[in-house]
Amino acid sequence: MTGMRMPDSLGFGLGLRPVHYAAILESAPAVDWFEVITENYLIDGGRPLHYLDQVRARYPIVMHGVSLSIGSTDALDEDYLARVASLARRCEPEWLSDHLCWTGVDGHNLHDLMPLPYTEEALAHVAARVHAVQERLGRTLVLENVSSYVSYTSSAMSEWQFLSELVARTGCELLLDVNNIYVSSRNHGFDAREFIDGVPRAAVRQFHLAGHQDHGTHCIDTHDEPVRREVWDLYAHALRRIGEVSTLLERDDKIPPLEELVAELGQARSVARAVRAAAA
Amino acid sequence: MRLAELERAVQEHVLAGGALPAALAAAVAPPAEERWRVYSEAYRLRLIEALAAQYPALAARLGEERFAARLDAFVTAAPSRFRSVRDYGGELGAFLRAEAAGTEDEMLAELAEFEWQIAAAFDAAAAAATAPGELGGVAPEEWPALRFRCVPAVRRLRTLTNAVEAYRAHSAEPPPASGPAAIRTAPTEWLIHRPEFTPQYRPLAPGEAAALDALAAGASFGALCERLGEELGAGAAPQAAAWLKGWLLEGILQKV
Repeated sequence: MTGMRMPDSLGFGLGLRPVHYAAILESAPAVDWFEVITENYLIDGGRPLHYLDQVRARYPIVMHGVSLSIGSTDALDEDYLARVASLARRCEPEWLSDHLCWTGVDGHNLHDLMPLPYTEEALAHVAARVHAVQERLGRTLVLENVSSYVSYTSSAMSEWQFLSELVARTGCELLLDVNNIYVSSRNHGFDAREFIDGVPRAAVRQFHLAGHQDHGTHCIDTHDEPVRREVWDLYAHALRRIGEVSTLLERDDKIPPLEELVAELGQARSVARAVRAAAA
Repeated sequence: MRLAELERAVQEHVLAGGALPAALAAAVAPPAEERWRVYSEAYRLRLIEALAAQYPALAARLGEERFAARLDAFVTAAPSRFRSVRDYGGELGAFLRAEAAGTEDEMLAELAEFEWQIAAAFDAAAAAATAPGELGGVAPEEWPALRFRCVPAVRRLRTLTNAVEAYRAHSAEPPPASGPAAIRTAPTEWLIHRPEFTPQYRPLAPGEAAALDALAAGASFGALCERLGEELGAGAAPQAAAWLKGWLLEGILQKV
């Protein structure tokens, strides 16, 4: 079972970035699917939506949000949810994901993925909101673990225990960002493999891979360079433990030409192939 | 600390930067001070980077250092309340205008306002404009009652400086080492629109701006001719028809 390709896997995908629009349509690269940042397409018209429609006509799409703010103590933003629902009707994504975090309170947006304390209070709060969002959008929500740099003294459970309990209470699914697990494990001193071993396998819908910067005392999730060796190793562990679910390579800064990312995606395919061969 | 209280304290600290308040220091595992900087510094850098993408000509004119310094004050004064960072920064022109001391500052404010409208046109909804040929079958007696509205991408703006000249200069590839000196100019009315995916702009002829604005505000073609008649007499109807034809050819109007 471990290491096997899951039947509903989309395969190996890339984040859709505007600098690659033309190259994708002209070269039909060896990419199985694309993930789009939801907020970049919550607009009325113009070039980005035009290209999204074109890419969607050729590839499966997943919508990945950064501003749902599922952990905020503000009320859910109905206007935002309506716009997300409208975009989902337009591009019919395979699924919708966002992050287990909060991004602001009192109407503000810090445009950052702020960590939550892992407490029963936060769990009950987030679970109620996940239920509400799933009902509003008529879809299972997929939530991603974030990179974090601080942890709260009030936390009464680990991040993976929190995620597991959230899955049990809401039926939501998980986007395991392998790089984020690595970054947070270095910043907080936990065992990254214990995290991966601790989440419910069947709930994992997707993996993320990305690069980070290692500052010695801590790591910062920057998405501005290739995936590091430690993260490839952890990805292999995730494949062995969870199976080959849809994998997505992210790059958000210092974005190289498309061919370079397609080549790096080839590395993810190689790791998966090796894990599959070893498991057979 | 309850969740709501914790989030509020964290947000206040990220927005303000500086040293970690005692309440948060106690709530966060060490090494708190250094790790918080990742959030508070990233917050400003991220918003300034987003503004540089939104205002590329302004950023080019000011240069990296001056742009960051001016916009740091803006980020403090106007924290984001938007879900999408691309919606952030619309008040920058007004912010720079309020601070303006001299022609260069007035021009920077106008440049920011102009770039914001270009960005708004870029993201506006597509809409089918009425083609000139579609009015071919309109009977002469029906013309006075015709009404139009502008397609969503249309934006109007008035400048009192050479901000648009600076926009053109600083948008060039490769960018110039320095743009034109800021000067006050005769008031100029601008039309911004987006024929397909790339916003375009042009100055409107004297009288054309008021006529277009009147039509966009709901005036009928007949009312427009009447209004122009006060200035142009018998020349009013031909002038209105010429402008209308031009706007229809540009694809900026929809027949209501």
